[in-house]
Amino acid sequence: MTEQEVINRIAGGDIEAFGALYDLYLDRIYRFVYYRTHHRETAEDLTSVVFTKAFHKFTSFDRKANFATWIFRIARNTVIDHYRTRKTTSDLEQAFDISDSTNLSRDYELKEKLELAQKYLTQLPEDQRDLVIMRLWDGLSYDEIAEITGKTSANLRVNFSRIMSKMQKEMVLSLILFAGLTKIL
Amino acid sequence: MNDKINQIMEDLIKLDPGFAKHRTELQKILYTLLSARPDPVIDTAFVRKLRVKLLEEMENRPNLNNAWSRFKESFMKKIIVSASAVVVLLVVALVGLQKLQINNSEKGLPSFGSDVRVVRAADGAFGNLATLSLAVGGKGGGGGAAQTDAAVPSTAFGMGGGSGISEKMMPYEPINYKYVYKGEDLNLSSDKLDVLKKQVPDTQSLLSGLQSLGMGLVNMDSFPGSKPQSISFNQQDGYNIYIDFMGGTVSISGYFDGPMYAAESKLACPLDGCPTPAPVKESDIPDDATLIATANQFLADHGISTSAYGQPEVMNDYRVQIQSQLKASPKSFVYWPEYINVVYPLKIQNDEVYDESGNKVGLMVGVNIRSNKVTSVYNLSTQNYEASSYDAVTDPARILKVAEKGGMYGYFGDAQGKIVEIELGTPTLQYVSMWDYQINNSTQQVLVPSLVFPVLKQPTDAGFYRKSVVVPLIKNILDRDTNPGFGGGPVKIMESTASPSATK
Repeated sequence: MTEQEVINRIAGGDIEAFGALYDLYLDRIYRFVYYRTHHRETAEDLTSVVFTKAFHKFTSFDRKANFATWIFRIARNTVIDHYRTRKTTSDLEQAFDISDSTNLSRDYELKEKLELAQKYLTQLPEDQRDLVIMRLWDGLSYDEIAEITGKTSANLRVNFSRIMSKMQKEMVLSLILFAGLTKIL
Repeated sequence: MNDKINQIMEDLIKLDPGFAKHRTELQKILYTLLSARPDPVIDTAFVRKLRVKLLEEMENRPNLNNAWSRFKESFMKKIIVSASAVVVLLVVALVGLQKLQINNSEKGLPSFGSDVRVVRAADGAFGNLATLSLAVGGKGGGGGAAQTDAAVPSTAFGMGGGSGISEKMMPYEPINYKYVYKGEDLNLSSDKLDVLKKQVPDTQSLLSGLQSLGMGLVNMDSFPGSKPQSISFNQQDGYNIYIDFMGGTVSISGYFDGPMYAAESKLACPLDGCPTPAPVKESDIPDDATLIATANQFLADHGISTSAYGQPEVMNDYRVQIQSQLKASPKSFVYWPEYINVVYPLKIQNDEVYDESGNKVGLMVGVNIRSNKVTSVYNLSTQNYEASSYDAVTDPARILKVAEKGGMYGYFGDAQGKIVEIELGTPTLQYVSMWDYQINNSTQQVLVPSLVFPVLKQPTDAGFYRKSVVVPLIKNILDRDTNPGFGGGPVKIMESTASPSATK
């Protein structure tokens, strides 16, 4: 049974077939949410919201469309809504700032891993960081990201290359500065 | 990770060859970013909890078809635009069909008939059956059962691969079901039993000579080894026929841009919106004999053989649910179904096949109550299997322990709330259909010998709709089910290294 057949079944009234989509996408959606919240319980809560929404909104899903990008779009909007509604305590910017421990709950074991990438990720505007994470961590193709974000695939490719170019230049600059400092000292 | 880095690098260089000069720095950056990716392990308790929650949502949503029908209404506005597209599709489909027929007769393709055929493979040929259905990314999977004392009241549920709802949890008063075995002593003498794995016909030869499918835009022969995965046909008088070559199945559904839907919705409404049809009344629902006759006629009209199936039965579970609803709240509004399924139970070597929740598996024919027409046919499948012998559990106590927690995926809610005792009778040995959801979006069906314990008397006031409790007899699977380290879920079949050795 292919994903399309599962979708056709649900469309035909066999709503229990939604379980197959749940099995297929649970892990990816959970990770998608976790990468943006860094907190197990929050990721579970939001994953639960995503699947409940997907189930209830399934009638609005065009069964000829790509289910993966549809449910990722729901997940992305759910994360955005989560930060919007909790604006007084934290936001998506803070999620990647590991020095900020004021209002954001974050799994402790994650801190060490994030430290590696913090210098790159925290300097990026939110939309650019979102692109990097979708491409590198979520493993989504440009076409998929385009469908999820509503941008064009070509535009995303160019943006990604600009981000990488910027990171590369900053890396070279920091090496030069580091070498200069060493000489002075 | 290196492959991914290289792939991204090549992508960047293709866009701007100047990136090649900075390959080393960029590789370091990409490595750092990829290494920083968190690696969360999803909690199996959460997987179970969310599964139960979704099942509750399904239970509390009496008729999705109603909503789906409303969705279909919005499509009515597109009929005029899409009609021409249907004609084009049909022409392409007919050309393809003619080619398929010619190809079929000329080259003697393997039979895709519905008769059951079983071919023997070596013992353990399907590999480890205990591996979970892993979602993309290699983790997660379905909810499993924690090992616990059988005397603890339990709630059970199932999902996927068929009709999977087995119970309803009341919103404010949790009900816990305590399964008690009242049957005869179990005699489990076989220490080896056959597991069946569905074989998918090799369809590569179907593509041979189908140059016309490339519509002159591409040379199809230049892709040696490619196989057709699926094809669908939109029929002008209202049906969509979807053929899944990978799963060896055919699905038929009322095509909602066509006259079929028009007949259902009494079309004559204006394009800017149709009035919501009056809800179906109990008196609108034909008797079982009429529904079965409608289904039989459709199958006969379309040359669909039922030789692999038993006598058709109308799936009347909705009546139990409605009775339960009315008992709890006599004045509540009742949604009578717009579609009712007739199931033709699959029989393998005279054994019936069940899903993991104890419902019969087979050819499903959906009848629309408003139009008294068939609107869907599912599980129409080739029935070629490989059989492979696996170690079976012979300890009755172990089997009963699983049965008394509600079978596979037994779920333990908090023991607070109402406790309802469910009596289980002497089991029969049957096959249980399980599914392996693959990373490439295809699935494999596996039939596992299992004991099916009938529920002796269904409580009518406890939101309980299961007819039986299923316990697989294969040791490999039961080990997984009772191992809290695994999340449960459908069987995962590893790559087979053995080839069929004899024909049964």
